[in-house]
Amino acid sequence: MSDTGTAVGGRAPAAGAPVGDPTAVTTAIVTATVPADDGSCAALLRWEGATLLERLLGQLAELGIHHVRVLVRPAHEAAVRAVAGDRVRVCAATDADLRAIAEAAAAPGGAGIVILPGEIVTHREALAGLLKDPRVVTGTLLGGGRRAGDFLFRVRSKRGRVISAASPYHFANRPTSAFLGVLKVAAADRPVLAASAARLAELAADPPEEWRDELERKREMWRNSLWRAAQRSEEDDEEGDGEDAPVDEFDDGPEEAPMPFDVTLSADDEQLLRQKLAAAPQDATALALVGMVRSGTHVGVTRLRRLFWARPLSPASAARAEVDIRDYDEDKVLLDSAVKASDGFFTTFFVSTYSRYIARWAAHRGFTPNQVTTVSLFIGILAAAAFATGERWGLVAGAILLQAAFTTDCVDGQLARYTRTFSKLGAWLDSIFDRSKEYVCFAGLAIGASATGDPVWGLACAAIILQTARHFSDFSFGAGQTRLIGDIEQPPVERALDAAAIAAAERRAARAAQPEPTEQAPRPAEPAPPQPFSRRVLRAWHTIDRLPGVRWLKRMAAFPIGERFAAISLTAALFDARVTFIVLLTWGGFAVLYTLSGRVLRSIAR
Amino acid sequence: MTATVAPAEQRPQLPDSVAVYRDDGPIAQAIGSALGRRVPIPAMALLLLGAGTILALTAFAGSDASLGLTAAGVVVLLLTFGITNARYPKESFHWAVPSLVRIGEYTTLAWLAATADALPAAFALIAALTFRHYDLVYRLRHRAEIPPAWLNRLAAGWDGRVIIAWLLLALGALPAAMYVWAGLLGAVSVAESVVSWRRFERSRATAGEFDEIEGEGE
Repeated sequence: MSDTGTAVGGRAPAAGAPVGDPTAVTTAIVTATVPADDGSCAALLRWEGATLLERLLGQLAELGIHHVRVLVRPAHEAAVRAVAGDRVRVCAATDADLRAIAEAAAAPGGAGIVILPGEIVTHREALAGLLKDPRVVTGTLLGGGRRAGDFLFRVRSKRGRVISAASPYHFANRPTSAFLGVLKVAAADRPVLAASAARLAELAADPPEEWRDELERKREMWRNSLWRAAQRSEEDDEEGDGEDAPVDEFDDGPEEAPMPFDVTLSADDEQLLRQKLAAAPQDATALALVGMVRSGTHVGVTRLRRLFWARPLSPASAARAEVDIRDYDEDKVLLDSAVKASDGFFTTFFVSTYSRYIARWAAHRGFTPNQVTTVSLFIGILAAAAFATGERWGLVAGAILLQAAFTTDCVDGQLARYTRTFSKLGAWLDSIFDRSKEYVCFAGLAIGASATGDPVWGLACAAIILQTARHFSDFSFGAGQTRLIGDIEQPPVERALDAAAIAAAERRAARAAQPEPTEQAPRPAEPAPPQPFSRRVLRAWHTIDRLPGVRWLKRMAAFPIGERFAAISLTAALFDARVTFIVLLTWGGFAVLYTLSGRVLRSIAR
Repeated sequence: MTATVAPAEQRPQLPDSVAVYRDDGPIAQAIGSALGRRVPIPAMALLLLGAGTILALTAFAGSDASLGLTAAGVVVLLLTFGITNARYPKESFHWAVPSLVRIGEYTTLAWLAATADALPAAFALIAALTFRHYDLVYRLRHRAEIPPAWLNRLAAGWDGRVIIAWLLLALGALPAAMYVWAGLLGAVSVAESVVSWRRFERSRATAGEFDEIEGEGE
């Protein structure tokens, strides 16, 4: 298992879990139930002289998970037992899998549980990203655009929370990501898992009609997306492009446009479709996720980012994964993934480009994120002291020091993500020190200006009031959005449709129930309901995101921290404190108008 | 048994963030419960009226304002904001409330100080208050807690603070008293925060909600 041995900088993961950590995971349920193309167990596909299952069990052991149960079908019991020994538990069908999950969850004591399929191939660091992140209490591993042939189900997530999940029998409206099979359930949520898995087991024993219809619908959807992918790759081949061009999000909607003519797949794709359909009803992990989401549990999100993931169902695809995963420089990918995707323009292009290497250096030197955060505060205070001189050299030195403080500030977050040393204290220090640095520099600038006979305290007060008000608007708006997501009423697992799809179906039914217009007048195809003005503006606003650079312009307009610190440094070094405050107030005032109009529109549209 | 198990009781119940961020003191609560239901003006209009009045007074009367005019400004702020203590605007506009309260409070403090030529002291007080207010947010986000009652009493709420600031102004105690106040408030807030974090890190018993504000990340 060469690739699992290359931990970042030789870092060994902590064996076991710290006592009292509510997010610690010590138990794994591995489902080795999905058949490969030849009817054997997919988890026993060959991998570097061993099997996929052995590789995964090794990774779990390295992550401190020693209580493992491997669920297996009777036909494969002997073969899996040869690999997993007495950890094997025989389950005749999916309902038995779910009962086994429910029993494990209901067992007294113990920490968190992870449920995952035995045939997934990914980096250990991808698993660790979910299992070792204390911020994700109960959560899933999600990925971005996948290919049509991949065997997985999709989810819709919002603000770091899964709000709808698909399974063989469940539909997720407007999915945003792919569920990569790994579900972590914290100790506190185990009773919910026990109850929901038991209920799912009852239903899976004899799937209700709504479930069977959904599986039928998935067959058509998969057929269509395989066909579309084939069309696309033929075109790509003509252009000499690779076959790995990712397919966009599936048009996973109930009103999916019918295909133009009968879809015929190639023999390979037919085989792939048969395999997916055979494997789908065995996917207890996807069902368990649906159970958690539908119970209203807060299911968090960890992203794969740029690490490797595959779920091979044939020796050929396992062999391909074996080659593909070697192309990944795990350390580089981890370092790149440590950079926050949602940062502003200045931070992303002028700071994160080099700060990640400082983060790696700090990791190898054994510095903790909190140490770096504290250093950053001290540099910020030094910058304020330099500003307070009011002399030209002081303003220039302060500008440089403030940039150094900001770089260090980016380093601490990247270091935390790179080494996965997250803590609530660290997050608090980072936030509160950021504010402190900024406002201490305001004070320094104002003191310096007074010393040179140009009192700007009124402007300094205005700047601190404006910035604090802007932050509070962000905090409250974010809290409101999060509460809104928590308020979604989840339908019971018996329903194949999720909350949004049920609401849409009811709207359609209500429209259909309205009296038909006169027979002779030909009805226009599906008259769209009139959209309120605010919704139309918002839609147009999101549409222009596709234009190049617009996303960055929008982020810049909101005047995030990187832009603010750059503006302070530049104006202080080149001009004086008065100019700095005027620029902060002007850009900040513009940002208020900009974000305010968006939020007012959204609040009206709701 | 249904699959809809309510997990609410396993997670710490988060206090309403808008109420926490507002940082109302006992006077605002008294005004709210006395007049809240009787004044038929929408909450958002009251908040905009209060903040707008203070901003206009600061902009036009500025540092030349008489003691009587500053008293009038403080009363307007107390009444308009105080009434909304018990009455919020439509839920989809809740996000606007804490910002308006902060603008009203901080601007009043700065304006009162400006009439006594004590703006640096006002900056010091506002800076100390920002620590308290950001701490309210991050404490709730990371630990699902609010500060202890004694600290909230000591901080006196925005209503108590504008009254204290006006009294200090009337007594001619600015700027010195405001510096002392800012220093004390800042020191106590920081010290309490450090102590409570140490206690939290030692116990680590509860898992609060941990949601990053996406996009802004600040």
